[in-house]
Amino acid sequence: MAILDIRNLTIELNTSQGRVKAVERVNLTLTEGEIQGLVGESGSGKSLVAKAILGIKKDGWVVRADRMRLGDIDLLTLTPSERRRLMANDIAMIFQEPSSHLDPTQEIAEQIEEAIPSNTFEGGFWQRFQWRKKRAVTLLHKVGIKDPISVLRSYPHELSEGVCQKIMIAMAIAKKPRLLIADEPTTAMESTTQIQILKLLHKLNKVNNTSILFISHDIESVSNLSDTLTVMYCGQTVESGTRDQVINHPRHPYTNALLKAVPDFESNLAHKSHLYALPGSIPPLQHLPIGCRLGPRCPNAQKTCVQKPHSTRVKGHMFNCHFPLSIEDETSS
Amino acid sequence: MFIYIIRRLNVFVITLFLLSVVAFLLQRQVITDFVNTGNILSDYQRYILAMLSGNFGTSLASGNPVLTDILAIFPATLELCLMAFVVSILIGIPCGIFAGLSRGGAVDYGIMTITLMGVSVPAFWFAMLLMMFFSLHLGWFPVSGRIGLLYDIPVITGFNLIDTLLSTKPYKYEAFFDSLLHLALPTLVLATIPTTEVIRQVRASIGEEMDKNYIKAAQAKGLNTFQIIKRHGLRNALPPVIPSLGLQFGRVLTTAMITETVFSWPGIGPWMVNSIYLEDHSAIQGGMLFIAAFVLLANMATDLLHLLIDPLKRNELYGKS
Ligand SMILES: Nc1ncnc2c1ncn2[C@@H]1O[C@H](COP(=O)(O)OP(=O)(O)OP(=O)(O)O)[C@@H](O)[C@H]1O
Ligand code: SF4
Ligand SMILES: [Mg+2]
Repeated sequence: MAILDIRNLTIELNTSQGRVKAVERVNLTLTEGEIQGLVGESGSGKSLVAKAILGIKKDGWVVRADRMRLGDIDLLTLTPSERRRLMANDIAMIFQEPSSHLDPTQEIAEQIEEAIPSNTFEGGFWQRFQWRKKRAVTLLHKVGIKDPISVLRSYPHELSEGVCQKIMIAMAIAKKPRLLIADEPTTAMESTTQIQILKLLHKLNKVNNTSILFISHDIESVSNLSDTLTVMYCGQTVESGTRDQVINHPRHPYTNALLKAVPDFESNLAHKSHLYALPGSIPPLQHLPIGCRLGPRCPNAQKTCVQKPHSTRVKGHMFNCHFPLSIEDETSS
Repeated sequence: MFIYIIRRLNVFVITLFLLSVVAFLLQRQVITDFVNTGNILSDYQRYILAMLSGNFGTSLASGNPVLTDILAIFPATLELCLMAFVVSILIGIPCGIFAGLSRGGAVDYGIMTITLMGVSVPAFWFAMLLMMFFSLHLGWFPVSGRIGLLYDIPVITGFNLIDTLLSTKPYKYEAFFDSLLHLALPTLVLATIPTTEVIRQVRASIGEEMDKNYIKAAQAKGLNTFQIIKRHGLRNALPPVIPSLGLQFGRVLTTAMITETVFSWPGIGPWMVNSIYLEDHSAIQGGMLFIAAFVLLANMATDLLHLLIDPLKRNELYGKS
């Protein structure tokens, strides 16, 4: 059963240059208990999608969708209090830029304790007095913080970005959510702790059956953990499918380019040859190409590409391209 | 932190020094009871030593040392000013919050319109209007003074609200309410300016903080708007407003002089005006220095208060030193 089902999500931002479609007709389906990777270059709108799922908006954002459901709950018609209950118990998010998502004037202890819902309490009534504090310490231990007591007594500005990120993770897993959105959860950490955190998320997925939407710009790190993958470019979904489909048989030129840019996946890469990359860079929101947004950078682009491509679906493998790569093509090269 | 306090004290001392120089030069123009020897430096030395020992000279009008007169009168002014600040905080913070939360909405528009009117209305005119309507027409409040003539309250702190309660007279509660009634209108007039300032600052500050990431993260924890404002919004939005409140003190004191004169409040305002009429130079000069020093002190105190309650500000200082 799909825990998350999003159809044609469009997010428009009011900027000084007028209204821009930062996210256009994005589709996302997450099956209960799976880990899905959401991959795309910086600025492709991954965080916007995540915030839209949570229902967090800033001034001047317009979010529209044909369908947006969490399990059997319709996210589009929630009242504010229903949404709060949902956020308190079912959805958690590990935010990018962790230190800015912590209250700068409040001690960490209070902020973590605030994120622990009362219904996760276990034990006798005599333990109620100190349980939040104890739980905060355990949570910090879980995310690999060695001296939880002193961290609990600190203010965010006294801690490194990596520690702040671990605190965000601790707060997110405190409520044992059904859906966890992890937005670049390990960027600020050194590689050994990254592995530790990834293991923790994996365990959470296996033990609590938490579904995870794992957001990253790095297709390599995501693909190790994920069951399914969705690739975004410039606010549009370009391809999605199982890990095997997307990694081993990409049908979209952009996914192909992403994979080729990672040396590990191209084992037959000649020694010291150039890493493959698409020419140009991701266009700014104010100057989006019409039709397929990859157009100006795409090696396969043709005239038809000024029309937005329809999505093709083959055995759950979805891609949006007028001229998809053929599977034979991929295996022969 | 310690270095910051020293630095702040330094500014205080230098400002006071410059003030004393100005006051001294003015005084030399209108020779008073100081003897001029012609040497400006030794004159200044004598002058500053006298000032530092609290000797502001003798008032021509009363024959008392100027400082004694000021200390007897100033609590009345201070009581009025403090009440005005209390009122401005009690009204200004909630209004500022509502305006900041509904930015661009009807509530915001209404509050900001009233605020603009408050800034534009001249204090003396507003004072007379209130006096005519509430005191003369409706008779709800007394027209002038600090307390009814019937009550005889010994001076302990100089603040009537406290002295009435401290006294052992059988009518002490009646006296307390009477002095409250006397305070009401002048306080209202005086509170207008700091209230509008508090509203503006709190509105801007809240509006800015509520769009920050940590507020969005608090929403993601499932807190409601009231909880978010209480636990996160206010603690970030209010401390930065404190220093600007201290800066208001100078403006409030000047307005207080006008208000006091209109309401015949026996504070430092009418006293200064009277000294000017009598050409009582020592009194004018002493009063000026005293008020200036007090305003500087108030600014410094609010700065330090801000430092004490805002961890971010403290952090900023660590970054610098
Ligand atoms: N608050 C905002 N106001 C205006 N534009 C915004 C805002 N937040 C994001 N954007 C724009 O929307 C686009 C998508 O941003 P988003 O943060 O979703 O990218 P991302 O895929 O998460 O990138 P990254 O990997 O850098 O986090 C970007 O071009 C960004 O400039
Ligand atoms: S639709 Fe055209 S431009 Fe877009 S990816 Fe496919 S071939 Fe390239
Ligand atoms: Mg992002």
